[in-house]
Amino acid sequence: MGLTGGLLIQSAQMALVLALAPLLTGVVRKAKARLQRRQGASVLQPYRDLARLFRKEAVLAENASPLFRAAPYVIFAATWVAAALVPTFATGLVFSWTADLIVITALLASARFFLALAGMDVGTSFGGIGSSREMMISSLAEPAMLMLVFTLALVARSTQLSTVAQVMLTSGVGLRVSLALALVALVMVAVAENGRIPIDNPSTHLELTMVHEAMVLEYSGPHLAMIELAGQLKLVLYLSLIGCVFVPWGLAPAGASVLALAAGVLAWAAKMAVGALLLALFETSIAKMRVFRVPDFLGAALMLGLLGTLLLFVSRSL
Amino acid sequence: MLPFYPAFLAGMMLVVLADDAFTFLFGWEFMSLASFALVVSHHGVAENVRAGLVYLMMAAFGTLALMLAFGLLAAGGEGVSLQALSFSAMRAHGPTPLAAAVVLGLALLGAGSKAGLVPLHVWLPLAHPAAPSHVSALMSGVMTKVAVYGFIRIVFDLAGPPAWWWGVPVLLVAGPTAVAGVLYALMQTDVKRVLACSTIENIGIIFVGLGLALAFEANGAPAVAALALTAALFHVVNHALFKSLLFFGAGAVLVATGEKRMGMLGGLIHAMPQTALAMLVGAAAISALPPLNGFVSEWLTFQAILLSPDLPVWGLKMLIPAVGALLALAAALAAACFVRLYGIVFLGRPRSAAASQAREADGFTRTAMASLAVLCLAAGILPGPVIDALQGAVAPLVGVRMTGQGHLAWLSIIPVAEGRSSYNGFLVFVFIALSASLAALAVHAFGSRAVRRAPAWDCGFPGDDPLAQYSAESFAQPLRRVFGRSLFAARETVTMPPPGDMAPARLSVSERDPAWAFLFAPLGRAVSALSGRANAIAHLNIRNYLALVFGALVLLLVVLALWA
Amino acid sequence: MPASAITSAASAPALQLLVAGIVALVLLAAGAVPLARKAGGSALVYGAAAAICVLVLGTALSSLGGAPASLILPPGLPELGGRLRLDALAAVGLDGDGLGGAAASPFALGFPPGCAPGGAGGGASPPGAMPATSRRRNGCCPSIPPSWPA
Repeated sequence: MGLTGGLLIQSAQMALVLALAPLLTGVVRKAKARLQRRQGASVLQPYRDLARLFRKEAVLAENASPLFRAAPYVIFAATWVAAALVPTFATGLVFSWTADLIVITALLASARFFLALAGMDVGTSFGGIGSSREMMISSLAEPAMLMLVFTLALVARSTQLSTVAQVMLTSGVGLRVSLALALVALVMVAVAENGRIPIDNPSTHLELTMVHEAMVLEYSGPHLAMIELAGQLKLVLYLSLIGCVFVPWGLAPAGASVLALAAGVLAWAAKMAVGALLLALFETSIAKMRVFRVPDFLGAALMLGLLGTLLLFVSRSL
Repeated sequence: MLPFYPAFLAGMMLVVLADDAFTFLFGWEFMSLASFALVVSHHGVAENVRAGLVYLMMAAFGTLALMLAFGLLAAGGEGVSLQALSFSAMRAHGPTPLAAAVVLGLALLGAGSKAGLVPLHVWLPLAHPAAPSHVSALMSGVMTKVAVYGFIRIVFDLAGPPAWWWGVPVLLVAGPTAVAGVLYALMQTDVKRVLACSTIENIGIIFVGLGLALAFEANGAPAVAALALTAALFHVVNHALFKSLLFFGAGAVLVATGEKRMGMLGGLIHAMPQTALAMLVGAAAISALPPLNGFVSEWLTFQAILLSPDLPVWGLKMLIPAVGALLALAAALAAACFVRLYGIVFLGRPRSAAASQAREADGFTRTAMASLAVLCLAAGILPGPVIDALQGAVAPLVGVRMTGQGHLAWLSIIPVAEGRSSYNGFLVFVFIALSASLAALAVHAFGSRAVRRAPAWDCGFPGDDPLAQYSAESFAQPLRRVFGRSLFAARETVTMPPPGDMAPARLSVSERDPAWAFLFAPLGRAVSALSGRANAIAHLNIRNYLALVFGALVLLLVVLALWA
Repeated sequence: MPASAITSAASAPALQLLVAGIVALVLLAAGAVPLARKAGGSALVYGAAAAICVLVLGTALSSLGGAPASLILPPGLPELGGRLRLDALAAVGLDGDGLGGAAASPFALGFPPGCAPGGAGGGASPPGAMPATSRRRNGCCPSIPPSWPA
């Protein structure tokens, strides 16, 4: 297929994740609304919200610094690059060797670093509370993520996500205890990192329970749109990650035909839809936990990840 | 204090060039004493004097351990000659396995106390911040690296081939050092002390790499040992870069405001934008964020950890992933620590008059910081040439070198094999820059460009006192509750006045360093109790002294007679 | 210890240069004793230290891949002398020393360190009182202009 084809697929993937990220959020919201016996907004509502925010003027606090204005772009860029490196519908993306799973984790950490700094920039109590709690959550979620990266890397003998997906797809890895532990841990980390119930509530504005919303309280207009879009990209990233590692079926291999690629896109869309429904079901059936219960939740994820890794150190076949 | 500064530099250089034990220890003591003099240069402050005293004792202890290590290494050569003190003679006849094991322990004690390994770190958060800022930068950024050099020279070069278990004690000390260091840093409220504690964390990361290298080298995987040692040396270079940068920034803040208490700072990004930018690069680099340099060395360490299932020894198989988890925890906590430091000092609103009247640092200071920030970025996006440059040092120590990285296509690095893992800092940097510019362009082309300044929203409660912002203490509160309760016995006591009473409510936080509470404080009490007893000997009359001398003489003769 | 005192032949120019650098630093330390009392003395010392560190850094960088060189200086223990060796590991270490020194010395040029308020834990001085505090500590650093921004 050559470099041009590869570049084309890579660009298609970047555009696709960006274009479909708001839709995924819309689907989750709609499903939640239906589960709660509400009509709910259209699945296209997030697009309208973003368009509205983009057209509004940005209101900056009087003492907002240049960092406050630059941070949304950095957050968006880091998240987008990370999302573009996760195989969604095809493995063997041209730039997949640029960054492995550890780098993707670290790119998300970069985005969070700037988000937390932006939360502290204006010097309001709410920004500080959000940043402080976000860093507490991430200080446990990130090692848990790295532990399950270790688990995957030990099974596939690679931290390269394309290779991991290929190994899961082709070599008959089968059911393994360690992978089951890693899946549970990954879901827990994904819930925490995306600020979903029971860790954080994306639709709350009740001050004392919010984490993410508290950090972005001072943002408005296009800045807020960039941050919202980055959050939606992050949800796509985590669902794609779960899909490509644990349900890799339908992923088009490197150098596949156009037909296979189209099938890959369809399979990915199906996986995303199922993931969105499961997330909505999970969020509806559970209550938000107190902030200081979160360390227990994430500590459990960390332990599961470590346990999965240790099992693989004991035996390659577990 | 001016004369001690060049002397300190000369001592550090002499240690590195030394090729015999005497020159090494001479340079080591030169460095220790010169830095002691620099630490107490503001001896008007009682705390600095105490810091200097603790430092002096720990330095003497470290030198003693190194002296014993060299003694063991020099013993066993043919004949009794001072030639045995040269490193070439030590290399020629390796120590016995037992002696080598003791040498490893002594090197961990001697070099580890200078580098700040837990629990020998207690002097470091006291002494490093007490010195003037450029000396703090040298002590944290360079002197701890001289200690790492001493450890590598003794253990990798002079002590002969490692036994299979040599990595175990190093890893057992290094992993907890990394986590404890950053937790200490999170509890501090003094800017320079935060930086000094974070040095402990980074030393832990470096020693994890060294421990991995020992484990792999001894268990027949020299290629992985080369990877781990490269990671450690890369982090040595990185830490020298960003810790110097951060201490310079702290120094600039200190000069601009006269404050290093975080609770008195804030909002300095407005008054000192260039300092703030350089510090942002340093904070992101030390938090191991791509595409900066700190991430590359941690990534290489993780790659070495992921190769440990190939080791034949069970103990190591179980230990290394646990150390990996500690390392991951330390990396995440470091990000929290530097968000806190940067957010409190440079962002938000000024918490004191001094902070609101700050002025930008002078040209020399800014140049020094800017060049270090550029180097941090350069080493992050071009890691290949740095790795290649380190191979000359790695190859003689573990026997093999990593495959060349500098010439790979697109400036990637591929430490093991292409299908296994690769990283391209340059492209990650370009991608982030491109996407951010694209987003900015899109907003400018299609979105609203209007910007209005207004009072902060703050959920409808703007205009509160700057002191109501999140402070260093409150930012760390969630982490203190999660990690500090068991480890540091952190306690919060709230005193609430009864209803109707207008007295202020008070919240006080107490914590203690377990190393100090369980190791050094009992030791200090024992020493002072013993000296109290021994004090009685100082007030005897002449007959008793004569009897004492006579008794000691008889005892010695008896021992000598029995010995023969 | 001038470079002519070398007794071993197996040495490289790089090592001799480094030894000269260390000797220069020691001499600078000795020279700094009278200079510390003079106006501009600290600028001179830090400037010279920066120059020497840049020299050391450059020499160490260029000898990263080179063959080990060694030499024996007369001062030291009898029979032993002062043995020095420059191998790749030492070059890496010297890179760190040189880099740190080369960055810290210009930084110190920026503000005379004796005047920068030091002290662990930051004393109890209230925010407005800094000029007085720094004047009190000026005894160790006479080169400070009276209007030093504290």
